[in-house]
Amino acid sequence: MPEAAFTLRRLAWNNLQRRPFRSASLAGMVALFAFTLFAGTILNENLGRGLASLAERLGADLLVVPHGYDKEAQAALLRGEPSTFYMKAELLDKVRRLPGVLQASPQFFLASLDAACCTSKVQIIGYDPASDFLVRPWTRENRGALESGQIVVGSRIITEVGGEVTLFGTAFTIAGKMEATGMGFDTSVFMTLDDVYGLVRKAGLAEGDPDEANRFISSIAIKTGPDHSPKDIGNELMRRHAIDYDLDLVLTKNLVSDIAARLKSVSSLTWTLAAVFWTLALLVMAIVFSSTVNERKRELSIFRILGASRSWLGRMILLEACFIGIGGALIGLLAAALLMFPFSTLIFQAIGLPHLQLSWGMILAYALAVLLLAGAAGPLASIYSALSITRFDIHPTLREGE
Amino acid sequence: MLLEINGLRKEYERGEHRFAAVDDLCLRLERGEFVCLFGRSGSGKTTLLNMIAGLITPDSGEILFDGVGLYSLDDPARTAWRNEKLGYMPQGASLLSNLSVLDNIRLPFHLQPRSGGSLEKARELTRELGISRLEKSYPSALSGGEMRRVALARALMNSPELVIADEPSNDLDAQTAREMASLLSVLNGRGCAFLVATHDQELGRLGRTLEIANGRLLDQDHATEDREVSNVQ
Ligand SMILES: Nc1ncnc2c1ncn2[C@@H]1O[C@H](COP(=O)(O)OP(=O)(O)OP(=O)(O)O)[C@@H](O)[C@H]1O
Ligand SMILES: [Mg+2]
Repeated sequence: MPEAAFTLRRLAWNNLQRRPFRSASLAGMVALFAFTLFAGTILNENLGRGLASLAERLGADLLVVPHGYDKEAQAALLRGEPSTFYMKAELLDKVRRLPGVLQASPQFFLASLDAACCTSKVQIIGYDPASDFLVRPWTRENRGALESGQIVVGSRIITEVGGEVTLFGTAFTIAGKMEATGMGFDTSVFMTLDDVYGLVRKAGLAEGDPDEANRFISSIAIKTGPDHSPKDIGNELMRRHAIDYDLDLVLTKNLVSDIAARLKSVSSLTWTLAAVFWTLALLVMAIVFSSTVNERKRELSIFRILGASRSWLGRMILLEACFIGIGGALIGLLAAALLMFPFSTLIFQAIGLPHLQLSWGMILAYALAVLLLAGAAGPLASIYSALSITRFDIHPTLREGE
Repeated sequence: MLLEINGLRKEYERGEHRFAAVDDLCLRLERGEFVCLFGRSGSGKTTLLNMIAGLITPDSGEILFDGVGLYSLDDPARTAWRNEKLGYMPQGASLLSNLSVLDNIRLPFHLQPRSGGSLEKARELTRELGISRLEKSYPSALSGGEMRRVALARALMNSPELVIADEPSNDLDAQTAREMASLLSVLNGRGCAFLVATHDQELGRLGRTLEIANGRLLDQDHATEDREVSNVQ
């Protein structure tokens, strides 16, 4: 046997090993807490950031879509679910003439069947670079006008700027890449309206006469003036054109505040659960520790007889608790990481909210905070027991064991 | 003089009334001396030994070790003193069940700050006490006699000046008890003083004997003869 240092640490570890079931259950409780808090906060932060950037950059106050497609438009916007819906393009001029409308810009949605760049279907969005204010805030390069034959791609489409992508048999140069939006934009491809119409014509995509495609658009993004509420303008728009054009509206303010409300419930659930688990872990550990201290009195007396000071015994108990706290916290963090990182895309898809990935630095900081909080539960729970050890009387204990 | 005890008294409560488990007790023990403490069950032997080991505070009287009053030291200092100067074999099973035999023996070395290692010394002790082959075993796998030897080795780990043994050969068979006695005799021959509470006549032959009854030492000059007479039976 190597002359291993015969330390407090080893003795504390030894004590835990001797009661594997007890140690594992206590560590499991701490792990549950660490898991909840870590997974919950990461989730929250991701969503919160997605929401913040959405609220900040979503240039449109109002989205006009064909009747019955408001949900689909939201899904396309938030999750990038490819969808196709059309209304007459002539509406655009009428919208622009409405009082209080500052800017209005059309989009044309087209779901691609395949693309060299991507494994799944992508949403192709044709837009009007001249009047656009919906796409531009997210683009890094080519803030100027997009030209025919060029595309801008969402952040999660894996291509390099300057490269080429073939869509429906037509080659496009990638003129720019968007910043991460956390929305459906991330998996979309943007091109000029004329190019989209060109694709439709060439591939015969639309029902009816493909040559007529340019008489249709999918949505109109509206930016309202400061003196008009988007709601009032929406009402006016519906009053004037709802019957002729069969319209629906998406108020983007509502979109954001809806998400914010859902986010709030996620975060309060996280905090409540974490608080419950933490308190529970603390309580159970405190009870288990103080009961085992009782059952261990003879053993502790022997340590005292052999020359261990009271504080040495207290430290041993604290150390055992620290091991449980830190061990449990690490298990919980690991479990959360194993679940969150590989499956984050699926998780967020299921939640269906815009999200932005936290930086690794931030994730590490959260992990450390959770580790600290969970690790502290152990020593906190054992303080009473550790103190009671420093007070207990050896003699009667020894006699009991006779 | 290694140990000097004057007017030692310890009272306990039993039901309504208080009684003295150790009463006005005086005792002297020279360096390297072997002293046996005889007495019936409940006579106060363990109480006395625990007071000498600094484990329970007497109600009155003094215990001087090397001229220093034990109970004038504070608890940490007394603990360090016990670790360094005293080896204590408690009554009954006292090995730590989750440590191996070797680790049990090494433990006292590591309970107070020290430099150096404990392995060599522990190995030397196991060789000497004939328990080398048990080093890796755990206490649950030992016989009563083997456990006592391990506890003795552990008491000797820090080379104490005094070893206190509370009934070291109590529930051992005659042969094993004789072996324990000769072991103690050998160790005593090297200069370590022993104070042993026992019922074992074998041990009584190794040195001076004292008799305790109702917490008081019987007339010390005649104690040995009294006992020898009463044991002829
Ligand atoms: N903590 C205590 N509280 C109350 N009474 C006690 C306590 N410790 C010891 N006593 C009593 O003091 C008396 C002496 O006990 P002690 O353990 O010293 O006896 P002993 O001589 O060691 O006996 P044995 O040979 O059985 O070990 C006994 O009557 C015992 O009941
Ligand atoms: Mg006793």
